[in-house]
Amino acid sequence: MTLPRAALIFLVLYSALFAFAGFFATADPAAIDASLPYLPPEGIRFTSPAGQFHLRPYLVRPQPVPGQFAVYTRRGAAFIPLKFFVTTASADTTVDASPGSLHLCGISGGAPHFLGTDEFGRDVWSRLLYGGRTTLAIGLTASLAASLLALAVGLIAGSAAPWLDTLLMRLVETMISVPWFYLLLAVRALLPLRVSPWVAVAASTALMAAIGWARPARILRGVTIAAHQRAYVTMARATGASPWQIARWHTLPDLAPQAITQFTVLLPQFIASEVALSYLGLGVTEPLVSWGVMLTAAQHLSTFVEYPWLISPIWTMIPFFFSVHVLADRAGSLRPLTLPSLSRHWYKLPR
Amino acid sequence: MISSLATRLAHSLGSLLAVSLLCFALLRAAPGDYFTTLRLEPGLSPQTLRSIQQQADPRSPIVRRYALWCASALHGDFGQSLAYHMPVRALLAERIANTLLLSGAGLCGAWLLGLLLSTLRGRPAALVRLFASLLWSIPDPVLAFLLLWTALRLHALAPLPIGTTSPTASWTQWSNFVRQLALPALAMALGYLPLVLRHLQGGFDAAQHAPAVEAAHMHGLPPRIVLFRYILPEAANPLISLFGLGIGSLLSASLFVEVLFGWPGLGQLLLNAILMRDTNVVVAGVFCSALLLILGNLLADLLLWLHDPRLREAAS
Repeated sequence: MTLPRAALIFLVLYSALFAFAGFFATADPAAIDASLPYLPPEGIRFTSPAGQFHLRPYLVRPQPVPGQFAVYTRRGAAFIPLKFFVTTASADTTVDASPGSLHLCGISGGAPHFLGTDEFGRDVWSRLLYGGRTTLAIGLTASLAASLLALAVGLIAGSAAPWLDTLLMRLVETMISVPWFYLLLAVRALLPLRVSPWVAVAASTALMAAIGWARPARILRGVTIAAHQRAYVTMARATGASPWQIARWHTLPDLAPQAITQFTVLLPQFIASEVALSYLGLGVTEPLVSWGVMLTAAQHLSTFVEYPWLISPIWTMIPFFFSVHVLADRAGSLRPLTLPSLSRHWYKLPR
Repeated sequence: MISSLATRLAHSLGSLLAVSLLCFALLRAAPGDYFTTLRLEPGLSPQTLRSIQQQADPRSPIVRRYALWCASALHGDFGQSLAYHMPVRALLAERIANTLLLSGAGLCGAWLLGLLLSTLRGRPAALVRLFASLLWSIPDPVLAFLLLWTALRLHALAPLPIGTTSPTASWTQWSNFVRQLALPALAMALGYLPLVLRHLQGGFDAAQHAPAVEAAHMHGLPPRIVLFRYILPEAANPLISLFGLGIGSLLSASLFVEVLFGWPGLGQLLLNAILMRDTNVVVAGVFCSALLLILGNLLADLLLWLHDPRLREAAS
């Protein structure tokens, strides 16, 4: 198996973890448990307190030290048997999990906290999954929209009348002569600072798409112009093909690999931007959760050091980015498989 | 050559004008302004508020305001910061100096480290490649977080807040300052390193097989001479573009690092200005960073021109 293929498979499986966050999560991401703030990650043991082996794993829950805030001890830790494929009957469904929904694992009376809890006793593992879902959804939507916009603009600028080309390219040059994150912040300043969470999600997505398309559009315009100089385009034009037909059958297939590359370049950039925006308080806001929102807990350096499990989104981002980069490296050498059927275009990864 | 450069310059000025128009239009369109925030302040009487407002905004039409702003910007005067009660120029000058120091150190570090690492051959080179692709897949904000976290675990963080930068500072103040600079500059350098390494390694690999380089090898020139006299010029073109881009993004690349490490630079100022709706500061900050970006590209063009005789030939 080649590395890009492995990366693709990993990416699909990894995304499924976040797409089905409700199933893999162990608790409601917004459910507050005031009795367990800053609980450290709970261990999993296959041995009972007496030292006997059990096939059903135990969850080892540290016990709070009485009279002290957020201090736990492993001495006298509770061994709670872990159950699989449980349905919750919880009534506190603030964000996503509906009562009676199926979860991969759980315990009777409460929820396991594999990655500990935050300052309000909310489960970090569940927040990580739901937060990943928000972040990845924003990143994917924004980069898809931006690359489609770039494709349209590049195609139009590369094949339309010169005045339109000049106009579009002046716009693009203006946009890329402002540093992209500064432009994002400046446009974000247009909106009220405090908006409802869903508006904030929509706004971050739309902003990133509206600002990120310029650079790929310029590249795709160049590819369009190059594609127009090919012999088969001249031939098609000579046989009386309309500009639309040329664009559909000749230019678009030529552009596709480059467009996919631009998408894979934009995706990590947009995800990192979402994290940065939310961290700075200008993106997704509570009660919604995203990776950036989770990292705001690290704004106080002391929290950061004492409760390192609060910055777990950092560790989940790295494998995702790594596999996207592996794919991005190969996407440029994708080649259109136009034979044997001209009516459909499949793209295959080179060996 | 001169006329072509003049065209480039005019082009750059045009996009700068467009940029300033864009920023200004955006921020005029923003709902609420600095006074909306000020109104919430309990200690201010309505009379005082009104008098401040009259001083700041003569209720002139937007075109006039923009023209006034352009005229004063040409004199290097970006007006008064409403939130900091001081001229934007003074405010900006201090912050820009800090940011340039931080990202300049980062940029130099990345290029030096990159040049050093890319001269390796064989197994170490493969290791460097692996390291670069790992680093490449850590987004900059995350990298900064990781560094800060590691430093905090190791208790290697210099005491905050940042000390003085005045030239009359004592030796201990200077050493303290360097210690505070080190970590954010490292974050900047490591964020920039994979890009540099990728270009350097790619360029060097391609240049290995250039006819001039092979001829130099066959003449028996020592490898050091071949590297500096033949391979480096051969591989220089994309590197010069990258360098220009690096110079251009000196002011804008460090926002997140500045916020995270508490470095009092332009990025932090801009963020605060946006949060406080301090229009003048935002416009001036975005304008300056865009100006540098345009200048960086112009510099790269000029350097390419000087370096590559083919470009000069093609134009004449």
